[in-house]
Amino acid sequence: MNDWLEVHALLDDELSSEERTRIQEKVKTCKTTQAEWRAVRQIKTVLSEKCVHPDCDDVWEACTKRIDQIERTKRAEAFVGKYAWGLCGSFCVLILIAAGYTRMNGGNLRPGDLADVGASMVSISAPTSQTPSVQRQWLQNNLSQTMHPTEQRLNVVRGAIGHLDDGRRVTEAILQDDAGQLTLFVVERANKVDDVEHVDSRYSGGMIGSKNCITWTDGGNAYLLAGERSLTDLCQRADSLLAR
Amino acid sequence: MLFGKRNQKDAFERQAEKVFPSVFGTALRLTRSREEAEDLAQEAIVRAYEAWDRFDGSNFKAWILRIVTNLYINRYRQKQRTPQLGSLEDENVLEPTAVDSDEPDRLLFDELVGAEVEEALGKVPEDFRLAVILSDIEGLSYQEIADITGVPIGTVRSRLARGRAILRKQLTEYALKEGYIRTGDQ
Repeated sequence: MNDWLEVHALLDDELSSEERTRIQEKVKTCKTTQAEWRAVRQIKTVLSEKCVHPDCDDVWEACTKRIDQIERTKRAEAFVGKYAWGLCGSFCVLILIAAGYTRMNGGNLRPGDLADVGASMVSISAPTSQTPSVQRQWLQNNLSQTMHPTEQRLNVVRGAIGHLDDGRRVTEAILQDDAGQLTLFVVERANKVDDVEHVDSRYSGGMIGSKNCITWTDGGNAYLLAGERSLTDLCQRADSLLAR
Repeated sequence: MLFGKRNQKDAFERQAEKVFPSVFGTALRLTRSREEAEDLAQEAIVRAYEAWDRFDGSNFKAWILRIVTNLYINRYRQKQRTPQLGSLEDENVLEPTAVDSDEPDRLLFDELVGAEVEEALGKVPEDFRLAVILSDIEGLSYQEIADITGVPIGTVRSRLARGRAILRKQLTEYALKEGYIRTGDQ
């Protein structure tokens, strides 16, 4: 080994006992080796005394926060990994329950949905007579028990039954009065009608195609009365149908 | 299981907190930028924590300083892309640390303050500087430095000798310039 390197190794306590004895002897007897020994010792002393560890409490705190963050992420990943099937199953069950609930309790209805039903409607027999009691009986049997028409000149022209895409039954009745024809739809299991605005506390108004319509809900069913007349007039006709 | 993991985390933090000043000090002396040193030290701690179950339990300080060094080499040195003075070719060009055999004992650097020594250390080429930091500031053995830097012990010895010689030259020039020692003292 180079003598200088041995002097460094001596001061670094990296020599065997024999080597240490030999180099120590050389340091005592050789001026050059002695100078090298002093110089290396000086540098080691300067570095150990002057180069202190910098203040780093804030950096350590940041490190512990990152470790905590890693732990939280690991815990979350472990939980998801362990219970993934359970979570997926729970979500599926939740979706099925929600779907079942919607089907049982009815969903929303848009007037536009009825336009798609028209072609698939099947006619049902019209009232056999135009007497008020027969007319009322027909309406109550085919549409709703809430029907109590008070308008003597309101007649049922014909009726039809169809179904929405989601299976809910739609009953249609074409009514005739002095001002023309009206169409009354009853949709089962519909709690709310979308795309309409409040006309008053009882009815909401909107459009089906080019015709005005008013809607209301009762007993879990939705009612739509449409005709080529004003919303106010439609409301009056609905009042007369319901004996309000 | 949960308590086991918590104990592991606590055990790691206890060990890491003890050596963190060395981790941050080494990072700071390598990068010579507090901001980069903070990033490097934090990244090293995170890597060490993630590899904690693979630590053999022998020498934590040497193990974590190896992570710091490897991270620095892989990331910061590539990023800097500055030519490294004192390359490996120079390692075998050994010269004595003392410039004169008649040099008196009173050539001391007592007047120098820490920042001046750090400044001079920062001017020592990187490979040599790392060896000096690990040996003279962190007190690691040649074998530990060899393990950390991935070079043979012989290379560690020559890098140390070269690094100390360069540092002494830097300090002497600075001390002369500032009047801490007179030319005649040499």
